Amino acid sequence: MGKPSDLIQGTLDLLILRTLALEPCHGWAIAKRIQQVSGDVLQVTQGSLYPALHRLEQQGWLKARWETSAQGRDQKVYALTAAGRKQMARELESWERLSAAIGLVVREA
Amino acid sequence: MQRWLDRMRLRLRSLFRGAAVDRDLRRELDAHVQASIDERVAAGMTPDDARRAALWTFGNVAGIQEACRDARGVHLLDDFARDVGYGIRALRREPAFALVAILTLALGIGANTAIFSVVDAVMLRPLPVDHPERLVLFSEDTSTGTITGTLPNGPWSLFSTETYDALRGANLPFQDVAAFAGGGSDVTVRILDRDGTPAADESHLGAHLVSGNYFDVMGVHAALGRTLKADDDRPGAAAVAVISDRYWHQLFRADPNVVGRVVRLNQVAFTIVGVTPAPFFGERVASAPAFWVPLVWQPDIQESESALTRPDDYWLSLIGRLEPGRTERAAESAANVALRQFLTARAGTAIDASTRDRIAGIRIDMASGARGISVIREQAAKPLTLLLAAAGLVLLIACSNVATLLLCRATARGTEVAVRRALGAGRGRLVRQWLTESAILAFLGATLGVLVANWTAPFLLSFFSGGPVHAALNGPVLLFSTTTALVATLMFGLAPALQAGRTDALAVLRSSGRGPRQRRRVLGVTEPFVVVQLALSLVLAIGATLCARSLFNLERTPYGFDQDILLAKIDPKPGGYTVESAGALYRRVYDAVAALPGVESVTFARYSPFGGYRSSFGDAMVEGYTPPPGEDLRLEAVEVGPNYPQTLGMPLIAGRALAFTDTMGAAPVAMVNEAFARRFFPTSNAVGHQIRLNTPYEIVGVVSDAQFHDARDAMIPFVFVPMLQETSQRALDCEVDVRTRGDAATFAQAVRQAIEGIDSRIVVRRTRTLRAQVLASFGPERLAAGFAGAFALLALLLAAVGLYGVVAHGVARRTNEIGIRVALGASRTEVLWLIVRETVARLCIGVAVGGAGAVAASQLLASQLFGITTIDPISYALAAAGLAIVAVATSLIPASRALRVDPVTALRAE
Repeated sequence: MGKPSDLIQGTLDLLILRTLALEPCHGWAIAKRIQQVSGDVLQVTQGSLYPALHRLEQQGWLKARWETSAQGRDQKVYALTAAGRKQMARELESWERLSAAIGLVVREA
Repeated sequence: MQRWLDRMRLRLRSLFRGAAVDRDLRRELDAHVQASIDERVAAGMTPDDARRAALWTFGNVAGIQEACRDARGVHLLDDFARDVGYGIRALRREPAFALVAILTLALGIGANTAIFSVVDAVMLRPLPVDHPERLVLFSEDTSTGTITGTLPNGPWSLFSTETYDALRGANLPFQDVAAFAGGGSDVTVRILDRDGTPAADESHLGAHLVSGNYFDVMGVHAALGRTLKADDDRPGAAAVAVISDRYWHQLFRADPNVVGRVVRLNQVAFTIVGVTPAPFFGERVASAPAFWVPLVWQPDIQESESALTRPDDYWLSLIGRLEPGRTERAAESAANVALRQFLTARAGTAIDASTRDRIAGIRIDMASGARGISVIREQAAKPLTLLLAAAGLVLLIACSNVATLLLCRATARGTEVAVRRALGAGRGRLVRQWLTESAILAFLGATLGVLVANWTAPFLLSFFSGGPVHAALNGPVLLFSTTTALVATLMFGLAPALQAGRTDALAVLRSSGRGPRQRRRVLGVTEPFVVVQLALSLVLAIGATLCARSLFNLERTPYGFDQDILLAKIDPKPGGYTVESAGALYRRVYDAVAALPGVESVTFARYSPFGGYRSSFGDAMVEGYTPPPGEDLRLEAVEVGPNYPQTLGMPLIAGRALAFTDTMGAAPVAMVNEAFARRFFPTSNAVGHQIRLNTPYEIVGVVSDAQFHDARDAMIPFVFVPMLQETSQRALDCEVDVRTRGDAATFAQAVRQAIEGIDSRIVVRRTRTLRAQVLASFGPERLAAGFAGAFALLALLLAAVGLYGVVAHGVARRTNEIGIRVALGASRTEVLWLIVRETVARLCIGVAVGGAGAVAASQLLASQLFGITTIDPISYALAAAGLAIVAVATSLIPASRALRVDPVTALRAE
C-alpha cells in the first residue's frame, strides 16, 4: 500500500461531494468520515482538503456557512448545492467507468 | 444563473475583501486544529501534548492558505500587483533609463493630449445648453454682417424682420425659432450707481441683439434673476438686458444684487434682469458678448437706422429648436416652402417672371446648431487635423524609441529572464510581466504628459481663438490620453515582451548571459525601430520644410501694394458724427495727419488689404456687358479717400485718382482695377464708362491689381468708390492709411495724437502697419509652420536619442572586434567607418521609406502650400540633408568612443 495521500487526481473532489451528499459537515468531520468509511485506508491531509473545499465552493458546487457547534465553537459547515449534486453524479459516473476499465485491464492483463 | 452569480460574489469577495477571506480561512483552520486537539484529549493525551501533536500533524499553515487562495483564483490579480511592484523596483534600479523612457512617452502622449484637447474645445464640444442636438441653424454660413437691398439669391444666411416673423408663424417642426443679429455690436458701456449717477469710466463691450425667446430656444436658464422673455422684445417694453457671467464678475465683482442695476449702453439705460450661467457664451463660439439685449433696441445698440421694419434689411440669423423626434431635413424642406410662399404672397399679383425665378432659386440650407456657429472650427479644422497627424507621428517615434531602449535593456536582463524561465515562469507569465512594466512606463508618461498638456493647451488654443474657448481636462480628453497610453504600451512594449518570452533559458545561462548570439538577435530586433524612427522624423521634417518654404513664399510675394503703411482704425460715432458730417471730419483728419513731419501721403478707406473684411454688391451692372441669363454679377467695392493709389503704392494705369472734389454734391465716380478693365473692357478704355452697384458711378481711373484677401486667389475685378460720396452707415467705418518716410510703426503715437487732437471723442481703436496686418493674416500658415517645425525638431531629437542608444550599444558589443582590428593596424578612419557605415545603411533605408511616406502624407498639405508643390525637391533635399547630418553626428559620438578602445584591454576582457 502506498502513502494514504496517493489519491488519484480528481478523486478527492468525488469523495468530498459524496461525503457531503449524506449531510452538511465541517472540514474536520469530512476528513474524519472519509478516513472512517475507507477503513483508515484513505487519509485526507489538510493541505489538500481545504484547497479542494475552497475550489469546490468557488465552482458553486458547495455552499458554506458558519455555525456554532455544541461545544460553542465556530465551524464552517459545507453543504452540497443542486449544481454540486449534479456534478457528483457526473463524477461518480466517470469514476465507475474508469474503475471498471482499470479492473478490466488488471484482470485481463 | 444563480450559481454563476454566487461565483461572481465569491470571486469579488476574494478580490476586494481579501483580508476578511484570509481571516475566515484562519478561523476555519483553527477550528480544525481545535477538533483534532479535542479528539486527542478524549483519547487520553494531556492538552499540551494534544496541541503539540495536532499542530505537528497539521503542517504548514501558510502553505495551506496559499493553496486555498490559488484555489479561489485570485492569483491573477495578485500576480498583477506583484508585477507592478516588481516593475517599479526594476525601474528604480535604472533611474536613467526610466527617466528617458518616461520623458519620451510624456512628450509623445502630452503632445497628443494637448492637440486633442484643442480639437475637443474647438471642434467637438457641444454648446453648454439643454439638448444641444435639437438646435438647428438656418444657414451654414458663419460670416457676420448685414445685407441691404434686393432679395438675396440662392441660400439665405440672413433674414429680414418680416421673413423671420413669417417663418416663426409658419407651421414648422420647431418648438420655436429665435433670431439674433448677424454679429455683435460694440457699445459704450457706463454703469449707473444705485442713485442713478453714471460711473466716471466707460468701456467698450460687445452687446448682442437677440429675440425675446432666444434663451428659451437655446435652452439656457439664468444663473441669477431671469433671462429675456417675449414681452421684453416688444415696442414700448422697458429696456432690459442680461449680462454674461464673465462681465458680471468684471463689472459688478459678482455682486449677488446685480439684478435691478442699470447700465447705459450707448444712450439707453438698460436694467439688468439676469446673469447667464458661466459656461454659456452665446451661439457663436469664441466671441462672447457682455450683454444680451432684445431686438427692438437695434437702432440704439447699432446706432443706425431701424432695420426692424425695413423689408430690405437682411440682418437676422435664425436658430430653431426642433420638436422631439423631428429631423433637420424635414424642418429644412418645410421652411423652404414657407419662405417661398411668403415671398410670393408678398410680391402680390403684379409678380413678374424674373421675381418668380428668383424666389424659386431662394433656399435655406440648415445646419446643426449643436456646436454653435464657429468660424474657428472652419478655419482650424485643417490645421488641427494636420497637427493631430503630426502629433501621432511624434508618438509613434516616441514609442519606437522606448521600444529600442527596452530591447537594449532586455539584453542586460537576459540572465534575469533566463533564471525566471528556468525557475518555471511560463512564457505568457513573462510576457505579462514585461507588458506590466511597459504599462507602468506608459502611465507614468501619460500622467506627466497630461500635466504638460493641461499647461500648454490654453496657450495652444490662443493661437486658434482670441475668445473664451476653454480647453479642459474633461472626460473625452482623459479617455483619449488613457487610450493613447494603452495603445502606446502595446506599440512599444509588445516586441520586447515577446522577445523576453522567447528567451532560451538554457542558451543564455550556459553562456552566463554574455552570449554573442543572444545579443546579436536582440540588436537585430531593434533595427526596424531605428529605421522607422528615421523615416517618420523625415516625414515630419519634410512637412515642416514645405510649410516653412510656403510661408516664406507667402511673405515675400508682392501683393500689388506697399506694406510699410500705418493703418489707424477710427470710430467717429462716439463723437456724434453722422454720415453727413463725417466728410468734413475726414478732411480735418487728413490735413492733421498729412501735416505731421515725415508723412508722405495720407488716405482713408473702409478697409485695407488682408484686414479680413470684404464687401460686395450683388446685381451689379457694367456698361456694355450683358451678363448671361441667371448670372448675378457681384462686384467687390471698397470706399476709399483721395490719394489712394499713391498712398498704397498701387500705380495709376489710366485716368485719375479719386479726389477731395468727389463729394456728395459732385457726380458719382469710381476707380477700377486692371482685372476689372481686362474682364469688361478687354479692347477699349474703361475710363468714361458707367457701372452700377447700388447707385451708378462713372469710371474715372484704372489702378494696378492688388490682392486683398488670399494670396492663393486669382485677381478679381475690384471697384473703388469715394468714401466722401457714401450715403450709408458704411461712411462711418474708417481707417486712416499713412505712408511715411522711415519705419511706419514709429508714427503710431503721432498719428493717434493728431487724430485725437481734432476731437478727443473720436476713438482710435487700433493702429498697426499694413505689413503686420498681412503677416497676421498668415496666422494659420505661421501656426502650421511653427508647429510642424517644433514637431519635426522633437522627432529628430527622439530619433537621435534612439539612434545614439543603438549605436552606443553596438560599439559596446563590438569592443573586442574593434580591439582586434586596431591591434591589426586598422586606421582611425577605418574604425569610424565601421561604426558609421551601419548608420548610413539605416539612413538610406530610412530616407527611402520616409521620402515615399512624405510624398503620400504631404497630399494633406496640398491646399495649404503656396508657390511650391507637395513634391518640392528642395524641401525634400533640405529635410533629408538635415536628417543625415543629425544621424551621422549622433553616431559619431559613440563611434569616437570606439577609437579610444585600447586593444590590450579589449582583448584581455575576453
